[in-house]
Amino acid sequence: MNILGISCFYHDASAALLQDGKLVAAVEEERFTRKKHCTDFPKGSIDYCLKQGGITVDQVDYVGFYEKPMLKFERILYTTLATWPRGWSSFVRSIPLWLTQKLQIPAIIRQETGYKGKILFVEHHLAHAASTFFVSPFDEAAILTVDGVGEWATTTSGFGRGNHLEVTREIRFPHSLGLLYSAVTAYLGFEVNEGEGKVMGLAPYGKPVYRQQFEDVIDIRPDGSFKLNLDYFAYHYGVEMFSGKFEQVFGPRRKKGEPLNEHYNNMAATVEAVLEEAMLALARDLKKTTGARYICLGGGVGLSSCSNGRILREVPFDDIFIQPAAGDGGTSVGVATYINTMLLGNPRNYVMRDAYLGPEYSDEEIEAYLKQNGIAYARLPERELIETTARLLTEQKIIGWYQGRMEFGPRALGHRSILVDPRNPQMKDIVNERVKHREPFRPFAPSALLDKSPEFFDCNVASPFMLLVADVRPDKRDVVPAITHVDGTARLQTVTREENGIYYDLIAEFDRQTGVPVIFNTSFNDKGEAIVRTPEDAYKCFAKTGMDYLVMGHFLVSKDGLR
Amino acid sequence: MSSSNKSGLAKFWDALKSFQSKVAVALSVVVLFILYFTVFAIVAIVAKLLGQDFLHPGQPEPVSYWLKREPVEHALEAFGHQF
Repeated sequence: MNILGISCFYHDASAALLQDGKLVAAVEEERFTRKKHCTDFPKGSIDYCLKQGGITVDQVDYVGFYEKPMLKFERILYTTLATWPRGWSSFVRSIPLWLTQKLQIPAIIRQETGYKGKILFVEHHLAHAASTFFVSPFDEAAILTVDGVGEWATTTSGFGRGNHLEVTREIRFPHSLGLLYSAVTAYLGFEVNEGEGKVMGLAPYGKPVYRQQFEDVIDIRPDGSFKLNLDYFAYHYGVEMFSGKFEQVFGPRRKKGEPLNEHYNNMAATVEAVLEEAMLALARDLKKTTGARYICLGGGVGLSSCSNGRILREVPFDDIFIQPAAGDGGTSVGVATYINTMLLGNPRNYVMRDAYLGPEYSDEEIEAYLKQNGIAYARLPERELIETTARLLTEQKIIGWYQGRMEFGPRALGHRSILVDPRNPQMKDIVNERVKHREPFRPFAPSALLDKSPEFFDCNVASPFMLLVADVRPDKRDVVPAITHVDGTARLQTVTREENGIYYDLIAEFDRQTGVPVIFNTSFNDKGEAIVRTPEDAYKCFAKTGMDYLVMGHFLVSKDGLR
Repeated sequence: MSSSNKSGLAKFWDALKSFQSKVAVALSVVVLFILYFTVFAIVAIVAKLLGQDFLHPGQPEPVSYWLKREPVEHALEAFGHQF
């Protein structure tokens, strides 16, 4: 049984292939087009999924799409009526796209892929719920999905047991935690659907001093449900996210490129505090109403690693599961698992223990690329490669690390990563200046050996997808300053040999050489670029930035060897 | 036909397509303008006069903003629909 899941035409287009219940491939289209958060029809992703599954499109039994377009269109029309005449600018922008693209999904799928079989449409938040519960290790769990908006729902809660999940409650557009966060993201001069992580990184530099004023912006009830005061927002009728009233109350927006100041830091801290408060209330209520031991989170807000960490620490769930592509990119997995399990009644037989679901390139392919382009390299046996790379890290070199299958989701988890020594307090600035060119306030993340991570981090569960923020233990903050954020926290990835192979061995070797089982890990890309996919992408990024070495498969390339 | 002629024709065709595209965009704005300020205007004004709020159709419980979801019918046919 082959089920292909597709998500596209909003942000983070992707495709995923389920074969007999097992997820064999999942990838975002941005990796093929090199356009970050690409919305296009995921032709490259679909072609890759079919190739990875060893099938042609004729062998696909079902194609699933990640939302019900007509329900979403209904929401657009109702919103147009409700906000008339203010919604003209939004109306004239969106309707042509809907008529030419978003209401033609079956035709586009058939035209682009040649598929002739059945196409199924699963509600957006059901896809989010399925994308987290059905690939989780839990047989029973509470389910919470929170994002900007799907068709109508912006937040849902429910419960999953075995082969079944039920979403029982929802909060509807225009009341949305995701859109509230995005509105403040826009207010702070960052790009919506891109800059939310920047706001999260900025928040610890400020204090939530506007919390009281936000009482008028959002009403959060004890059960976690909430309602926004729409006077502060414009996303439901215009191209702006927030209204004039928002600026009257909180002052003028930060224009792109303007320096940040205490006020903007405090705004970031306030919206982060509000989001965490709401997420904690939602999780507590879910614990109370379901009695579940575990919780599965889905939706773009599931990428908010600070609130995820707080849920784990402050709500009595034994563990939490969030799949690595918790945002819309992951709904291709959700729709495929929903069809397989809920609609076809097939048993669950897959747990997402790692995120390595993307393309990989063999040593032969990598060597062919290097040779064709006249790039000098050394081929090293695995043990020597690991020892050499660890030594180079201790010598404060910046290393592009390219191994195995590419990660699914926005985080680089040791297969398409840039690695450096976390012990050097200057390293964050060095990496920013020479390679990443990111805003200086944004933190970098650690990868740590799971068995030794509790020595450094206040986190006793696995965090394989870098979606939990944990406190760095006070006595270790000076040991790994490059990955310790200003508030003493870090967004942790835990690594095991079973799931991470050579990456585990590298960190273990770094530990052997330095006594520190932690590595500084950031995604293999420059600012504004998608993470690299092919050896060519990796080499080009290496060549144009200030990385010192590139390790691809078993090949070591030095900047000195560039021709 | 020589390659230079082909190139010239291709350039002409590209320019024509670009012009047509701009005309299509302008026309669609005109059509949407008429639609928005006639059909949508009438429905929106009548709805407002009748007190209909399309974005808040339900009456949430005073203690909670949660809305109850009806159970989903798990039939393949239902999922073949885009609504």
